[in-house]
Amino acid sequence: MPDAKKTLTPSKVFLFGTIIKNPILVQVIGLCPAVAASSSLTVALLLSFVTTILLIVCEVLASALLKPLPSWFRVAVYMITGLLFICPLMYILDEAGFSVVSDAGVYLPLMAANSVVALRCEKFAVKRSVFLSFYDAVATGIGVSSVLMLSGTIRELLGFGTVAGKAVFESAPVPALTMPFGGFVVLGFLAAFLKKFISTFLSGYSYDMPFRIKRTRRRRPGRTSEQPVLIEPTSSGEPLPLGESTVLSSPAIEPDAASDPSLSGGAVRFQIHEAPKESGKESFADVFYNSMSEDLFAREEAFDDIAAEVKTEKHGGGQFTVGTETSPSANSDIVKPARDEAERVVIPVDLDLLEEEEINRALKKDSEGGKDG
Amino acid sequence: MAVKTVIKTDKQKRPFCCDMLIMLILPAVMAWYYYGGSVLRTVFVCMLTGVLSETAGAFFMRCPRDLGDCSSLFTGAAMALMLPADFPVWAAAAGVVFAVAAVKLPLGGTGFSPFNPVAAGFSFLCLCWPDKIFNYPAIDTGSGYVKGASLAGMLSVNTSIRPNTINVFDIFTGNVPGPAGASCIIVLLGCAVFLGFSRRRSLINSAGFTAACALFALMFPRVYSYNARPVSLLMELCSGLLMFSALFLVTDPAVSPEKPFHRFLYGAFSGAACMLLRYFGKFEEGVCFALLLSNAMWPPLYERILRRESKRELRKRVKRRSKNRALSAERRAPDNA
Repeated sequence: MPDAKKTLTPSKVFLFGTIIKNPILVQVIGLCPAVAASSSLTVALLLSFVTTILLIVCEVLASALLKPLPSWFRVAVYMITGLLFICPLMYILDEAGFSVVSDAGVYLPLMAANSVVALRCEKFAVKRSVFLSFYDAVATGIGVSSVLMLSGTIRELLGFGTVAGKAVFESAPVPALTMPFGGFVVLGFLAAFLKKFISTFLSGYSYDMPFRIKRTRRRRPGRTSEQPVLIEPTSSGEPLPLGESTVLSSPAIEPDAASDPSLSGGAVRFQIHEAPKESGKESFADVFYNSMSEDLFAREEAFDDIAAEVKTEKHGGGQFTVGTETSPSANSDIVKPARDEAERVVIPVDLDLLEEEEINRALKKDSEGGKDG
Repeated sequence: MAVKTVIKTDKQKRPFCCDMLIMLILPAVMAWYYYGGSVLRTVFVCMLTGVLSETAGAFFMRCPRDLGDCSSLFTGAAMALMLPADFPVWAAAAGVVFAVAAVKLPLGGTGFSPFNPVAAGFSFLCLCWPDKIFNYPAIDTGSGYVKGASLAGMLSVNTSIRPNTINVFDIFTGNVPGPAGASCIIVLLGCAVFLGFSRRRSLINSAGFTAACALFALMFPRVYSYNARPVSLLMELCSGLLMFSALFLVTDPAVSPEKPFHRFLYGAFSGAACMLLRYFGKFEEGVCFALLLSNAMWPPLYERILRRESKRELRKRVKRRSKNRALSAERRAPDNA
């Protein structure tokens, strides 16, 4: 949301911290204690308490005092603050004879370097007032704590057959849930339920979630190489000249085109341009063609235009995009409409097919040229 | 050109899992012969659980039910036959629920799930009840085998198999403690023949898997005998779930590639993983964990293989064309002269 910062109210901060941007289930951060340590309710309670207190202390500190400092220094301050809190707490609990400290193991001291604390401080607290930071810390703490305790209760109940040490079942129904593998399974189902809850009861906030579920075609793994290709909506509705376009059907595009009733019966045209290189990551086409010797392809001029940015148009005009995000018919409930024409949609396109098409055409052209010559 | 799975392209044929279900009839009959009606009851409960899980999961996830392809029936039946005969029925049903509701449906459904649901369900049971799942009942046929002492268990304790420890005929007829429906090698060979006739390509996966396991067994024998290598080969291939997995799990069309050579490579990769887990794993039988590992690791490996092959093919084509051009130029040269 572009104006989210301006219209941020305490109630919205609370809703975002607890549900919409839940650190564990939605943002998927701070998984280590949630998966590995919180296999029982008592440990989950201890970790929740520590996380909430750390969040409140660090966010208020960051918002009140640490704004002038550089970010790399602030992160160190968060860790030192966490250690200053956790070390005495561990000592006191250990002296008092609570076994929960040994149950939590190494994960309790590791909470000093909690990614949730550092992220919330850097993303939120250093840019906002102390009041809002405190609210955010409490909300995020409640969000983390609820997930930890829910996960801990489920895992203890099914993994050990107890709740907070009290026996509920005679034997453990599913002992494997006490392992980290069980933590992942439980968190996965909780995340799915939360997603469903948000899309059902808080559908107005689904755009504010850090990620959106894209409905893509289910593909068999390993069959083709999926390479993201930028696809732009065309500015004009006129069809491309035949000489500049190529008709191509791709496994990644065809189903979406088929799902759109406005495209039925028409082929899809793609115009192939040079690929914009992503920083630090070469596309498959780059790797593939750079690995070839220059002499080998010196005569193959057509190979220079291989695979990349594709503009789509439908026969007979009518603008549309082949992406998954901007097609309202495919994802009516979760996908927002395109804001402007310059918005780009990244979808997977089978580069093998693109290359194969290009190679075949180049070889055919070359053989025809040879015959003519 | 849409990407199609083997399941969808073979419209004129029976669904793949239907063939697998037919193949499972004979192991189920042998299990009933050795262990009585309790095995059939487990099979029935597991199949019913599979169907109910699929129906309930499809209802909650609002995705179409795939009951017609028999995959949920196959999942239940295969898992029941992979377990010991005295394994609790409710636990077996829990494994089927996990396979269908937590692995198959959320990850894409029949033909699309990147992980084999049966292998995932069995691994789940291994982690939950390791003491029960590898504790096989003795067969009451006068052979005198000890409860729980399966072939895979004896192999996992190195050098525990010595000359004349096991009767080879007993091994082939399944008269040894082991998984209820996976011990009778003769029946499994019959299933392989059926697979060869009905799904010849799928048999290549099995061949690759078995070849890799055989190679490991020959190279690193775990038996103490004067002719250790052939005995090791026999014991390793006939023990545990290896042959059963080679026929029913490795052939899963959702994860196997299309070309025969690639299928063989995929099978060999899974077999190598299986033997490594057998040698160094915690459990005596690691084939299901190995399958999950290979399911996860095979796609990037396969992509590299495809890249390499397309590169090689392109080089060949360009070289061939250059050669043809040079030849035609040579032929034209005297004409012009």
